[in-house]
Amino acid sequence: MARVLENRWVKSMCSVGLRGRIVGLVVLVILPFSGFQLITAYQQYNLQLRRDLIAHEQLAHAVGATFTNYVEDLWATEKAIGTAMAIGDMSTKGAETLLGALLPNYPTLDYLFWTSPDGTILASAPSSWAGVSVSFRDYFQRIVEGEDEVISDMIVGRYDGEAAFVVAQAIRQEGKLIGVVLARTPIKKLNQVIPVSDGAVVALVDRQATTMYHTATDGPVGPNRPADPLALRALRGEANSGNYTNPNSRDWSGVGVPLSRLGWAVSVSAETLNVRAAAGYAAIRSTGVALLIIVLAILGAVSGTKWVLQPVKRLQAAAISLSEGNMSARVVPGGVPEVAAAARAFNHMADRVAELQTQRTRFLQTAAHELRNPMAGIKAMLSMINWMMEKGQPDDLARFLGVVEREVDRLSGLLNEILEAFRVQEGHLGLKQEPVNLATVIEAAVQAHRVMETEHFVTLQGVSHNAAWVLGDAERLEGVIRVVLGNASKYSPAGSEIVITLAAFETTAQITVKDHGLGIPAHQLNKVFEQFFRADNLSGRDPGGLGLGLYVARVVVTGHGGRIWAESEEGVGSTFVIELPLHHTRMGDLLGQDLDH
Amino acid sequence: MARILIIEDEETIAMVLAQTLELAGHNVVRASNGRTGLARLQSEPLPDLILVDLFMPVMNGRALLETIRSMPGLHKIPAVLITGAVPSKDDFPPEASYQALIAKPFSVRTVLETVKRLV
Repeated sequence: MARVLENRWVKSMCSVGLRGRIVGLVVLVILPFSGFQLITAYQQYNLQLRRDLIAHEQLAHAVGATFTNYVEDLWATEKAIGTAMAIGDMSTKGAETLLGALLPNYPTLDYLFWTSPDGTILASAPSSWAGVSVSFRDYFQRIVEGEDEVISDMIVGRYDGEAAFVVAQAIRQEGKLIGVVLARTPIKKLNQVIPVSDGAVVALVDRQATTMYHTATDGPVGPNRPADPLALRALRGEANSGNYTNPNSRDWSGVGVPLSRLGWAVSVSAETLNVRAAAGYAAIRSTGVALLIIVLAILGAVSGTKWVLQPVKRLQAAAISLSEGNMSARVVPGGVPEVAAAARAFNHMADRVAELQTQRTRFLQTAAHELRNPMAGIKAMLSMINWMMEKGQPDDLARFLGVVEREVDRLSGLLNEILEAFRVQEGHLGLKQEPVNLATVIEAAVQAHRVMETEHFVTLQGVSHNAAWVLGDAERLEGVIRVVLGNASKYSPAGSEIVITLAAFETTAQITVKDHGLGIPAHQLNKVFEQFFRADNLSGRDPGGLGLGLYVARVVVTGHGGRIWAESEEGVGSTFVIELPLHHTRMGDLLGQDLDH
Repeated sequence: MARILIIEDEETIAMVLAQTLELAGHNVVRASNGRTGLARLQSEPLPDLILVDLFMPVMNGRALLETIRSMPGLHKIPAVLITGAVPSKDDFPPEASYQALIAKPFSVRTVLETVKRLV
């Protein structure tokens, strides 16, 4: 398995992006369908050829049926006319009337004749025909000689050169030939009988293999032109299909169908190239559709993934921008919900980063500013001492050096504050775990504070006789109280009182520091414990310090398992409460402390 | 022998400046912020030189200088600006309003030389 994963191809495939994968997936899914269609293109081509063949067959049959019906209908009519004439022993006038009434029923007919056996036209419709048509003589001869009872034939008019289709019927009365009925149709009008074909060519061929009607000429073709092989075979009674080369050396293919009742034949054919082309088009069309589907699917996948990826790319760009220091880099959430959620999370993170950045900058500025003052004081002091020493030892040397020492302490205190803050951030607080007497701690803190400033009266309550022991770090706890005390004096007027109370309860002890100072607005009661926060100082003085005191204090107190919070009323004063869990030890008993609940 | 007004809120620095200048033979007056400094300027005899810190509560050095430069009688008094680094140039008063600049931390010798040059 590991070797598979090490494989170069597998690795490069795994690094393919979303777009590549989705497109790949789409292709994998669509490909079988489209591929199948592509593969069957050749079969579709053959299928289309087959369909065309069937269509030609159907057309041939339709043509054959229609034409046969037409002819048989004429025969029947002629027979009916003849019978009527014979039975009724009709006069010429009567015959003409009858024929004239019938003619309109057959719009394709030129003429309807009633002739005597020798061909003399006795009656005709339209009635202008008279005499004997020389061209019909052959027919009469054949009928008279008993060769045929019925003749269907094509003749070409001797005078007008027009081709016509003639159906002649012998009329007998008791076996005796009494006349002939003849119907004449110009070949041109036959196309009204023959169904329209679509690109295919219809040829109607008579017993003598003369092409009576051909779509190309819309009439008969010349006698020099033989009928096509399909029709010829059909004349022999054989329905067939196949290819042949026409007189122009073009390849044609089609079907031939015999018209058995007439002894004629019909062929329907089309130029092979056209047939193949049509089938080819069909195959190409479906191939094209298949390819189009693949292309559309890929395009859809590509643009779909682009829509998904764009917000991701924007997020990436914003992240890069932010990491290069552009604090205002944000993303407009968009796209799929998951990506939008990620964008919102990024914005939130960026806000936090910008905030921390600002805090850090402010802190550094403040730190530099704060540290500079004691530094300036020390330098000024020492340079003065130096200058004075040129004139002889100054009287106040000890005092001056004391001031320098104080400034150094001040500086040292600030640096410690910074160090503590960093330790807190890194989580390296390192609290000791020893029994600590809170009363002792408080007294030490007050003592140290009084060294620094004496403008406020600090009162202790309940400190001396309440012995409350906790488990923890005495030095750190002292620091906490000094910070709270320092704030109390910083934010309350000179001369006002600060009261520190120690109270012990069942499981906890509480140290309360109460001042009569500016107070803290309600919305800042929690904020004062945040890093770098320095309260607005209404007296206008620079509050000094780095804003880290209470932040560290809170971390230390919670590290001891306790809580620290502030209560305040603006303009009246503030009360800071430090609550710590009591530690009942045998050591405490041994030391004989008075546990006063 | 000149009358010098020191306007500085940092006790140690003010003390050092005063001690040094007095030892050098000058007459020193102090104020701990711009407002009290301005009050002294208006109510007491005019000093020959003003040493003023930039960052002070209530009224800072820039505000003070801008104020006195528009007041008759006060606008001609030379001033020395004392400052630590400032965040931006905008916090400085216009260049014409002070005659010298001393940066913290400084040595008293620098102060003495500057004072000598201006009085």
